[in-house]
Amino acid sequence: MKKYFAFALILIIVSCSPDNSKKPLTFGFGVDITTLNPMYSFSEIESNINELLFLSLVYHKWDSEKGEMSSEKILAKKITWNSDSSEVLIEIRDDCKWSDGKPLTTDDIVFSYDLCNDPELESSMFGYYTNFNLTKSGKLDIQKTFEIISKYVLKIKFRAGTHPNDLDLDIFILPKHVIEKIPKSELNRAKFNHAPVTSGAYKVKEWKRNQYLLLEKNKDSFLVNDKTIPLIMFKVIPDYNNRILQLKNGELDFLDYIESENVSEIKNDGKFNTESLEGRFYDYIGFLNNKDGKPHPLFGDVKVRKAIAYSLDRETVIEKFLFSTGDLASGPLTELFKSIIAKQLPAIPYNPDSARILLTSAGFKDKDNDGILEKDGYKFKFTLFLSSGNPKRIYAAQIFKENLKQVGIDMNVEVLEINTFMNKLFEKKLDAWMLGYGNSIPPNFKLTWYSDPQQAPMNFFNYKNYKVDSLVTTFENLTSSKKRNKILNQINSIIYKEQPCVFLYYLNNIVAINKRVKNYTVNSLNLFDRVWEWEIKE
Amino acid sequence: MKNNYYQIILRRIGVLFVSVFFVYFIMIGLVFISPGKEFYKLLSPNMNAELTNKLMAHNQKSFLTTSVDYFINLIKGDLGTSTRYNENVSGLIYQHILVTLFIIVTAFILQFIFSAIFAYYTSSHPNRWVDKFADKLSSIMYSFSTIIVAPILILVFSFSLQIFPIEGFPNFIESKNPITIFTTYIYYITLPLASLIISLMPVYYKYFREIFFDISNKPYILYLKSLGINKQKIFFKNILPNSMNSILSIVGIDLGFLLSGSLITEIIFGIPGVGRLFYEAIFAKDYQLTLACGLYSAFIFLLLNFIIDILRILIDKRLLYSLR
Repeated sequence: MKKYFAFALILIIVSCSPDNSKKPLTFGFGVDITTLNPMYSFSEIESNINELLFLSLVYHKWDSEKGEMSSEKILAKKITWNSDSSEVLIEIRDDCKWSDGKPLTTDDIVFSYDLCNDPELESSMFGYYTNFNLTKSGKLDIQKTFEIISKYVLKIKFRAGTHPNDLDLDIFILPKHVIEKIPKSELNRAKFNHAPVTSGAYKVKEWKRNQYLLLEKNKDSFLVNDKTIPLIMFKVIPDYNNRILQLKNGELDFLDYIESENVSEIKNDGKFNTESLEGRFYDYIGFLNNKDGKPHPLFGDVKVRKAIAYSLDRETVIEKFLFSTGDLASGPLTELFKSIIAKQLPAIPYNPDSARILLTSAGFKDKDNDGILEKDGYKFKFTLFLSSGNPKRIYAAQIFKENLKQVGIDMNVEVLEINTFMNKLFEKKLDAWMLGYGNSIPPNFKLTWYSDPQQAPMNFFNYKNYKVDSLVTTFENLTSSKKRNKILNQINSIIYKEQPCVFLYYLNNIVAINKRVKNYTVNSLNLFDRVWEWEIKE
Repeated sequence: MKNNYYQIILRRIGVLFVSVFFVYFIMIGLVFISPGKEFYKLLSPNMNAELTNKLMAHNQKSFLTTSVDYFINLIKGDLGTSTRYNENVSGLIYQHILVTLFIIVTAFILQFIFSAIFAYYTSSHPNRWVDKFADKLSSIMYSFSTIIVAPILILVFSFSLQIFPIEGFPNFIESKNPITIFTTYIYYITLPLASLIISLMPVYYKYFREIFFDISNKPYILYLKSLGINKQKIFFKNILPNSMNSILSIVGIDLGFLLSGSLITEIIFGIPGVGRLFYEAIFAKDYQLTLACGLYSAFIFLLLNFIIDILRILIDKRLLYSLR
């Protein structure tokens, strides 16, 4: 007897026609966010999502035309600074409620300020309270700082001799009645971090880790109206190609960091609006300027660093690998800051001859005719370290390797696992490396260019310049934005002259938005700005 | 007899916990010597000096204090807090383990049934061309592990034919229609399941084929056959139960393959299971989460082995003494 086993996998493709206008506004991301608690959010996307969930006294928006930031009242109804801006009287809206129904009052504001500067909690806002009165233990001195006048009126007094501005008021307000019940040691793992009680234009509907986050319109919020999009989804899709695929077939409405090779394809599709968010980020090749307290034998000399800058063919990289989605970089002040930059410094051009002249004047000569320069008996050889995970950077490094060979420099390229790479970078064990950097808004040059490693943990270069140090210190004590900008320009041109690292290119963030989304705002400060004003029209 | 039985079970549970603790200790050591800090936070453009220095100070603890801290917390039943997700580790693992179990169990059951059916067919038709072909094919397929099968499947079915997606999991289905939900699941999990099944099936096919063939040539089966009893009846009543014991012992050993296979599958296909959680935790330097994921995997592996051993004892009482 014979038996036949037949397997039939019948796929019934049901042609359902979903109502697209009800489809949530969907954002695509590669990795899931960490938390919904603003205290622990470090990434840009997290703070953008927090803006949808939590109110702050003021809101900062970016003017792409002028290249500057301006503040706007959101929770605050009236802000009155006194003449020397040492005190501020704030009247807040009386119609704001938490998602559990409790009213938002000045108590919540005082509590949030105190919580975010608690040294025990390592909140992402810790260390920003330079204009406030602090106690010896580093906590905020509430008695000296706040004066609660009524449920909706509050006075904040700043530390004498400081120059506070609206940025000091821009913190997310957290619900006191919920968080005060959580013991401090439990706060970094509390349920609040993934299912928060919120007050913003949206509230959390569902969050499935590594899958999606669904936000729902908060009908009680004063920010929303009938046209506000009812549902917003943040979808986690780890693979980039899959994100592009889902964008094309309409499952995603919004995608950022579109790779240069897909840009023209997306632009020609006709279904999307594309926006290019200008250079907040740049790639650079960093050098250890000083090693063990002495100038580095190779990179301690400005001439050598400049010669390397002259010998790199960055135009080709921008054209071939970045498909012109980047611009030649000149200094740390990226082109985003149009209002600050007095005069755009010209980028160092590709010119191997100038490089050779500079290297000769620095004492490097090819005596044994092997194609590699020498000085005092040792050859100009070094290894450029890269972190894994960025193939474009690795391609570019290969081109630069060839470029440097032409002027007689032997560069090796080595890719390290990112943890090892960062570890070595912080321990200052790398002589030369290639990495990207994102400027904060407003730019903070102290973090990268100040000479004291305690105050400038991002100064991987061991860069020391006393002029820069004194300028940074002066900068901190100034209030006039004109004078501050002047100093930023001065620092920028010093760094440009000294080239502690070679600034390669400013990178643009290309964003695609489905055309069904109207009235949207995207910019370099807020990747998705004021989403409650966006609309969907089929 | 019954006393003996409990004694053995208690001893096995003891061994289970000792092994888990041993694994945990080794993992703490591995995590400790690995380089890096919670760098993803440090890459934020909004960092300031004070906070950076504070975060950097985290890694200054010694190995002994770290491991003692972890052990004390573990005994308290607290697996710690994930720094990557700011959440209790147990809750996170619970969310992800369901997905992993879904994939593993479905893949395992499917491949078990498929290979049993094929083996039944070929063992009842020995030395025919089907048998020979299946034998050669399984030998070839044996050398294909998940890490090779998965990219090939993606290349063929996602890039060339564009039938299935490159990766993903049915994470948000608006429709309440059960057929739509079912098709969405089929759309997303066919390739991951196929990659697991294809890499496991040759092994199981060979075992089944060998064991079925062996048992069906045993004198008592031949006797039953000579009595003219229905072949199918013999298979389900005599051959299958008698072969279960040997098969289960193999399942116990192979569970490790299945767990590591699912880890690779989850990473390649972007499935939000424990494997991907583990992988991301390692790269985000999330110590507690890494340890907890490792601990869970080890625990599940040992626990399933323990259950399988008990099942085997229940099937065949003679094993009671050999399995101590």
